[in-house]
Amino acid sequence: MIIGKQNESDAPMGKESEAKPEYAIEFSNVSKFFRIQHERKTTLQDFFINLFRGPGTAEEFWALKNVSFELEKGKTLGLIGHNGAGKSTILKLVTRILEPTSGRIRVNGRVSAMLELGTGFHPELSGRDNVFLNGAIYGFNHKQMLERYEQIVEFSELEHFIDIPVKHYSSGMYMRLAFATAITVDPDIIIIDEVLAVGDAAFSRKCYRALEDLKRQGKSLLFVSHAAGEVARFCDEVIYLSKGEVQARGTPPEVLDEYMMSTMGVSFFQMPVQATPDQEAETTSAFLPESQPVLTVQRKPLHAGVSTLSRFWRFGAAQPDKEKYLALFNPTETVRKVHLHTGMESLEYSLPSLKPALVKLEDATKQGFTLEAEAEIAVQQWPEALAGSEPKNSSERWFFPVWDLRPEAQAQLSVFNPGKHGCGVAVSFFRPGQNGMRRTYLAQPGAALVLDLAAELNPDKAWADGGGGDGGSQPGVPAYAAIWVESTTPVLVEKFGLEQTATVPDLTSVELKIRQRQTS
Amino acid sequence: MLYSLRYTLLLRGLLLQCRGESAQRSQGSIKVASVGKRLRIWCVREEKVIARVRAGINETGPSRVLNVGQFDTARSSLKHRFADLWRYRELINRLAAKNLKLRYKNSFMGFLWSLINPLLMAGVFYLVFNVLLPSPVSSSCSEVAGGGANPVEIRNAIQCRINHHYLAFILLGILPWNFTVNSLTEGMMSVLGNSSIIKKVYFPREVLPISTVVALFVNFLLAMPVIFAVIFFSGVPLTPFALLLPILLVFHMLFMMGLALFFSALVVYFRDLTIIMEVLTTAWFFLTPVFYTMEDVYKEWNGISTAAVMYWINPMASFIQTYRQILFVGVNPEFYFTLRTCLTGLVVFVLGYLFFIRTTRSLGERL
Repeated sequence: MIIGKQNESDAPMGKESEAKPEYAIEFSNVSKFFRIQHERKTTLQDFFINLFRGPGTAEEFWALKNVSFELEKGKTLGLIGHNGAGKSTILKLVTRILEPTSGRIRVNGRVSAMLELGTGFHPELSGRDNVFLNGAIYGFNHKQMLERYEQIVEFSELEHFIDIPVKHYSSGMYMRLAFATAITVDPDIIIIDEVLAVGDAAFSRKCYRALEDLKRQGKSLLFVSHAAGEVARFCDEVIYLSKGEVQARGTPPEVLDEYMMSTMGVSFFQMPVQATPDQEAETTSAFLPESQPVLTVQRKPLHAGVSTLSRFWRFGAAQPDKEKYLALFNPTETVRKVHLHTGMESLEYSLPSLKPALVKLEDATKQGFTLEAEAEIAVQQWPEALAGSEPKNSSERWFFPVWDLRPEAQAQLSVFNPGKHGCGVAVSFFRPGQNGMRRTYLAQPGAALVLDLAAELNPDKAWADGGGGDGGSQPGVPAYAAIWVESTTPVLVEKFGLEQTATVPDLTSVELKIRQRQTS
Repeated sequence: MLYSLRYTLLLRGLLLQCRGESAQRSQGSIKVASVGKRLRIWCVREEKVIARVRAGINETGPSRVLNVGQFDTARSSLKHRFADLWRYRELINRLAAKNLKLRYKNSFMGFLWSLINPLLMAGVFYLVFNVLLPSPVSSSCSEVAGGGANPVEIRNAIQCRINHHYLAFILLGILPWNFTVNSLTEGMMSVLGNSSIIKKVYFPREVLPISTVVALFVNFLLAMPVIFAVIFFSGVPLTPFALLLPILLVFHMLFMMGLALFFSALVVYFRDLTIIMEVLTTAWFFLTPVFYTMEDVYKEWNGISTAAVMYWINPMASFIQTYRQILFVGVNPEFYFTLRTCLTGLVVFVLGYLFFIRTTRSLGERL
């Protein structure tokens, strides 16, 4: 992980007059100081009272402290951070709404900020007038807007309504026109500030597709979000801001891990949840309850996950007629040794870190066995859980050592938050041969968050280069993963899906090597 | 690339439309024509154009003359600020057009109001100053002072002309004054009133007061034909000095822009100004020769003429006096007097602009 490079481009300002062409945005040691007046002297009485109290009611703070970063042309940079970390300040500096207190900002290209969707629109003017006015606000002249006008109307699908005053538009029409104007003015740098949740689902998808198009065309994107999933989808690099300073900078998985570690359990998620429009949109996209019924006739809850880690596990007698496997998950960073003791023999396995693993149980284990590991691991019988591994209490950590995530298995995870406050939930996916992946959600208090795991693993095709292509696109190809669920407050986690058939994943030979076999 | 892709899609859509459903027998034919640098493609079926596409020829994208997006906080000299303003000139036009459209949008009589209003005011002044307080000028007086006449004779001649052509006289005061006071009050609120846009998107902020003044100026110009009609029909002789009008108008506009820039910036930091301004504009109205002439208030006092002092402290007195001299009295305005008037307009504009850009750096966080 690269920590924000300080003093990187400290070249004398006068000499280096030309911005480096390969950078779309360049911040060098930018700081921003704010002074906010607490009270206004509203009445004459207040004025005299304040006269004696002195002017000490202004709050002063540094919104940004020595922030340096660059956005290369054609790349996508994500900015994440808590409320008040300085994300919006950076956006406002890039869009020139604010001027920095110190430091230097260079922007090389036309910036289109999605955050101002439709703000230049005047309700009394027609759609056509508003498009031209908005274009002028972006700095286009009449001729350039004429070139774009037809495309804008076509994209917004408002051919019949373009001469009607905007005040008669529905909010959807309004947003369509605003988005079409913003995107068709051909920006070089696009800023996206969690606005893509607007509009209906179809239009939202259209927006995403348009943005992916833009990315393919080599536009630079600055993406600001605290929805970790969207960040991971789009960004080449992520910067994690905290209290106006760059905390971490690197590839999305690295920085998101860092971000989640610092946010889980600290103030951010424990604040009482107010359903802001953003959050509502986020949860409805994660819930999917009305479009896909959670329980149908052929579906049944499979079993709960393992909510505890232990070094010692003991299992009773298994049914003799079935093939039995043991699903193991090692949540530590290093390979751990696991000893399986039966009455007759002792086997030693080396368990890879953060990967799903299965062990076939031999005949000898039918009388019961114990498991002893070097460190705490999660263990479950597969394909059916044993009674002992189904805790009913809520917990902050849940493990699903091996889970079939093929789309046809319809794997769903239900996270119930029994608390009074919203709670952050992070779901990590570990698949053989691939990097781990983590997505975060917000569970509303007293409600269940239902996640469609195959869809989460492979939303659209945006994950194509991330390696998600195996699960979603080809039905039948196994996509087994170990799932690790973390939450800020204790939750109940249940697993739903189709009943497992006898197909056994090819994990045993790949992931587990039998090191030693002793016969006693 | 984006454009070629888009046109490909458009063309495909056109072809699909053109081919029609399989049940329909007649297929459309495609016709292509180039108009200037653009390609037009129609689909004609049964003598009817059913779809058309326009595309640029050898177009790699829209012309990219402007680089509005480029900026560098290390380069914010006056020269760059001015270049920035020049790039956004289209926005000035658009905002001015918007102001004009919205002004008369919901009224039945629309633009006519900006003519009826001053005419009604002129009626009031006529009632007060010609019926209730008639001037002691006989109706058989001479409008032209003889050659080598003394100031008293000149003054009497002007008074006589005012008496004969009161409507022309008072309109030449009211219309420039309305432009002045509207520019001042609306220009002053232009920044505060658009704070929601200022907080969301960048453009040179000086565009707001400037475009407000431009809109009112256009409004003023549209009233000009009425002034000339009144002058013509009441029989005031026009002299070649009327040709100075465009110069005077431009500098009057610059003067108003300067004031609008100054006060629109000041009011952000000192909001009480909105209340104070009501008193100030009323006082200004009475201290400006709108319904009287500078000759009326001419007094010598310790060797200083009151008119000189008024010209000095109130540039509007000079502007309205010059409007009347070239259009109503029809005499040659003194060269140095006109030069001073125009220079005042220019200086006020420059000072207002400098004040504006110096004080509005932190506008984004002050609003």
